Amino acid sequence: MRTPFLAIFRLCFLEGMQYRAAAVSGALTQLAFGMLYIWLYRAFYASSSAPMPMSLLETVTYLWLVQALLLLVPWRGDPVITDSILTGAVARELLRPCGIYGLWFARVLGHRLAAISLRALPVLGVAWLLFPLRMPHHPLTIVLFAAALVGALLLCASLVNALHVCLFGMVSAEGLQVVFLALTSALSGQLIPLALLPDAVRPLVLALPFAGLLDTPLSIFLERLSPVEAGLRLAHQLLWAGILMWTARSVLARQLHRLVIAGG
Amino acid sequence: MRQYFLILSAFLRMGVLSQLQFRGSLAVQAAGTFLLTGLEYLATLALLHRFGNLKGWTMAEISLLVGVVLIAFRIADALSHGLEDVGMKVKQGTFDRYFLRPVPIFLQLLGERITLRRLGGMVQGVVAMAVGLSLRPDFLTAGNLLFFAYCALCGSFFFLGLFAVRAAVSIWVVDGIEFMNIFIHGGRDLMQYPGTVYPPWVRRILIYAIPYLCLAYLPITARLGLAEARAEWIFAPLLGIVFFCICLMVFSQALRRFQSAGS
Repeated sequence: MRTPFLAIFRLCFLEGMQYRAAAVSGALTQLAFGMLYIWLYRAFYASSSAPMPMSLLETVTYLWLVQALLLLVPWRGDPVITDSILTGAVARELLRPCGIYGLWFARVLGHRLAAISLRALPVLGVAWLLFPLRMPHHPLTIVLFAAALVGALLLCASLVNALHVCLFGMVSAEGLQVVFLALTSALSGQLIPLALLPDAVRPLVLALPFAGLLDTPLSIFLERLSPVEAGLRLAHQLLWAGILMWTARSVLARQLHRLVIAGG
Repeated sequence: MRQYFLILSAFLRMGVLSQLQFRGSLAVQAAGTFLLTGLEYLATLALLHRFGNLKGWTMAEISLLVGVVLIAFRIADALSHGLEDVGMKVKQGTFDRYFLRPVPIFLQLLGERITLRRLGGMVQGVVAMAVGLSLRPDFLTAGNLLFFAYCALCGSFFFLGLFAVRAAVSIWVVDGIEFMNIFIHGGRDLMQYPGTVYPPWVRRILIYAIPYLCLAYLPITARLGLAEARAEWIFAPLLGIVFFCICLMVFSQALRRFQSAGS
């Protein structure tokens, strides 16, 4: 039952691993942006003597981890899937004898995992050579961090697929994609570490699904959370991933029910 | 020369009118662009809220920098849609036909498609500028406004130059030009903060190698007397136009070396 999805996941992972030149180009870009942000935050920390929720060392580590794991943020839909929905080629996919949602999910997971594993280590390696980073002290942190990365990946794929389902009723993807891009980049911790947000808005942002993409794994890595809090944040990731998957699947089922395929 | 600009303005007018045919869709897309650039500005404001100031610069002065840079960037961005996919045109063989027309290729590409929705991001620049001026009403003079417009105009030439270089690079290497984003988007981001944020050796590169800081930070500091500044820095934005001319030379060099694969 599950084997077709596993096979597609494996294929997409291997396909993604072929794009090494793109990964080098991407890693260079992320190193440059990482440097820019480090200078900026250093200047901010040098400008104020008030106590901050995060130390400079923690912030620098956070920023580099953001650059290394940047592809956990699902800025836009998978281009192949998006195109297939907008052009109608998706009708062909529907002929396959397995659910289309699982198909999409396996595709996105495979591609993302390949792209992240190609970029994360070079970026982190260079950052580790150039800057002192705050490394975890407890062995348990590594286990929790790994679990949070898996949760973030699942959440990322379920967000992307929720976007795909929304696109089903549309003729142009551009407007919705831009809104999606704005939400995911601003509320995941990519633009600004969530701990530095004004205290009034932080609880709201932490409750939204986007915080699970970067902020949860990174806060665990930096050991800013007690084991209980870490457990709650992991549950938050899985809960949102579950809600998104369930909603997207049922909406998709209803839409497929109404779908009219006009020739082909 | 004059007729070229007549042609360019005819192209642009056509582009504007055709997009105004779909007002609803245009509004949604412009709102999206507005939201996106708006969030980056909001993140900066959140940091300023947390830290109070950035090297002595407060929300007012930084908003003015952000405003000038975003307006400059969005003008160039809206004009450069045709320059963006030059690599794709070369690959598909459609780039050849630009050589057949008796108008400079750069102007053809500029006029190809003005994207009005990207001007939505310009509204963000105007908002940032309004925030800055409302926090420091003493800066609100006609002279200053003209000065900001002059910085933004030179800045959009500068960004157009960067877009032209990206197009030139994509004629040479066709694929994998994402690294140019370091210079374009990274540059746009770094210009929004005071130059003292960067270590001195970096600052020298950002002034003398690629004159990012000459377009907003240096002239605005000099004009508003924000830090110890030299009076002649108000002429620094003109370097943006010089930079644009150099970039055009690079672009035409790329065109000269271009070899069609036949189509």
